[in-house]
Amino acid sequence: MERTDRGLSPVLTLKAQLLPAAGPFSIGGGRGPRLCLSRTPYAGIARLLPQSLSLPEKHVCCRRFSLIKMPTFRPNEDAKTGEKKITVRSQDSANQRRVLDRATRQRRLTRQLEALEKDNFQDDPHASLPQLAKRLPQFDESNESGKKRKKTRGDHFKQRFRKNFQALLEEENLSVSEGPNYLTACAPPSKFPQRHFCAVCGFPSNYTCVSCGARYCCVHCLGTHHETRCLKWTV
Amino acid sequence: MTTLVLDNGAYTAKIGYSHEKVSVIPNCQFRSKTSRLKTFTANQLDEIKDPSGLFYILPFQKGYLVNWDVQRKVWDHLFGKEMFKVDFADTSIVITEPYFNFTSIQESMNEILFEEYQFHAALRINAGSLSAHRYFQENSSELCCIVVDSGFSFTHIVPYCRGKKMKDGICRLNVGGKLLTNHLKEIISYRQLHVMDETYVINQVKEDVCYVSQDFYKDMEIAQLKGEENTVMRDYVLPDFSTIKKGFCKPREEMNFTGKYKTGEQILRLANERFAVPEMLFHPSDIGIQEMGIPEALVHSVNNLPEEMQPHFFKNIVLTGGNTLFPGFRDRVYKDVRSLTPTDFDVSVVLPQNPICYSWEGGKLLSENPDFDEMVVTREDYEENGHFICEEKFDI
Repeated sequence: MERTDRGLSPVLTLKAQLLPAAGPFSIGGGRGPRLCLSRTPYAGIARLLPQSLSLPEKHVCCRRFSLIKMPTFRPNEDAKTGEKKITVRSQDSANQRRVLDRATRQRRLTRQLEALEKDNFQDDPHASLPQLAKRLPQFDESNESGKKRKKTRGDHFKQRFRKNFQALLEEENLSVSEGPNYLTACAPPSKFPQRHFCAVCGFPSNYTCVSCGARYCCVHCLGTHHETRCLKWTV
Repeated sequence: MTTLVLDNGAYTAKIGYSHEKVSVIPNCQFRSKTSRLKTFTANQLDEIKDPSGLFYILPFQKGYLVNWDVQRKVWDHLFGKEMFKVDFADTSIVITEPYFNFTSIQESMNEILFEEYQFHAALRINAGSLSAHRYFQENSSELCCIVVDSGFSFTHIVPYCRGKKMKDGICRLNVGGKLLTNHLKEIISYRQLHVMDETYVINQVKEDVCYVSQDFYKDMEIAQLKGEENTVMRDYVLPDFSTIKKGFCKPREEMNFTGKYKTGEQILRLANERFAVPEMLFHPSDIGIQEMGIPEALVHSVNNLPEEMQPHFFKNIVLTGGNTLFPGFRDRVYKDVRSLTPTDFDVSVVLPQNPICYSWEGGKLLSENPDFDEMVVTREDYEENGHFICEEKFDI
């Protein structure tokens, strides 16, 4: 579940606390991701927090209250006025609900690395200009040199000169059979172990976010990470 | 008869007649937020008063020429009457291409040079070969050298023996200046100020404040210190393009360590970013690119070469390309290569005066070489034999 609907999560956490079992248990039934409390290190914290609500009546009361209150529970308000404990709990349950598997983490990393290859992050300032919209992919506004180019440009321009890198690479591989080429020239993986840096502040990190695998160095950075990037960095 | 030397890089073109000086000109087109309807080509960049949010249109993708429309616009401008006034029928061109350039790009290049522009003759060659040529000219006693060309799109490590490229030793890291700038943009945008659209400005920040650390973890510790003790930290004043035309570092004595300035200028506070960004050239795995860094790849490349040549390569490491201009780059390469090689080998790393134009100057020397006329393909040759003759003569 995304953190955007975290208005709901305190309820879920409380519900979890209501269950008497001590071992791993799950809530949620068939729909939505399963809750699995004791799997993550934070389950411990979550169990500590609502100790004040130890009486069953209080639990019930709380639950009823929350359920009624729910529709007016706005995320922004929660962030500003809500106690820290609630924030932690709601994040915690978010963690437990969704732990990205290795393939997903790899996909996210690949996406991040692809983003680093982009020429521009903003839109073309000319894109909104209607009269140019049609010609934009070719990047030519044939002004004064238009005539001359039309004359000199053969039909090869339309075909061969319009391939992107990936198309060229694929085309090349079919024809190359042996000897060093673009693919074999790529540097192999390093023999040294990978170093890790906090995704928030950039300093050396010792910890890994359970949900998404990002690195962090301290609780403060983890909080920032949860609030901003964790499970959110989607393109 | 004149010769035009063009080191056609993915970010800048290094161009000039062989009897004149070199000019470094952006090899791309720009669009600006402020002047709509106009697309600026190459050095028309100087006409843009407010380059914030500058939009780049690059002819290269991952280091290979794919957008010929843009490339032709840039070349039309460079060769035209505003700049080099090329008399094509009476001019030979030396033009550079990336290693393992794709066949179809090579053929397109032939067609455009001979059929569209109608140059008298052309020599297509790798930029690194020109650098090696220059190195061997200046150090005639040396038999081998290994060129590190760290540019905008990627970094190549290429061994040369007696002027000949050793294809088996070529090693490419997919880390270049563009990746560094984009990464810096990314972390600044996440940590303090949204600058994702400001490639031009942040590239300048990178060139102004980034350096290669000699002791990475020690610098990390310093960068974590508070106040005066943090000697790594810099406050960078961003340009507003009205009163501040170009960004700059606040002098140390004017720095306010609480980070609050009364003046209205926009400040970027940079600490570990300064050296963690160029560090990607040495440890690409830091951001998840599973490749060797430059020193390790250098040693890897040399170790794959015949054993009797290896000491010669370690003795002649040449650094070229814009990334080598980071302060401390040469020393760090030396330090790391030294620690990765047996002590009985001499290690020497050379950083030329102007690493960006080193290969252009190699091209200039080559065009004065008595063998030069043998190396080129003339338009007559091409019209007679087509792509075949180019494939025969050019070693790409």
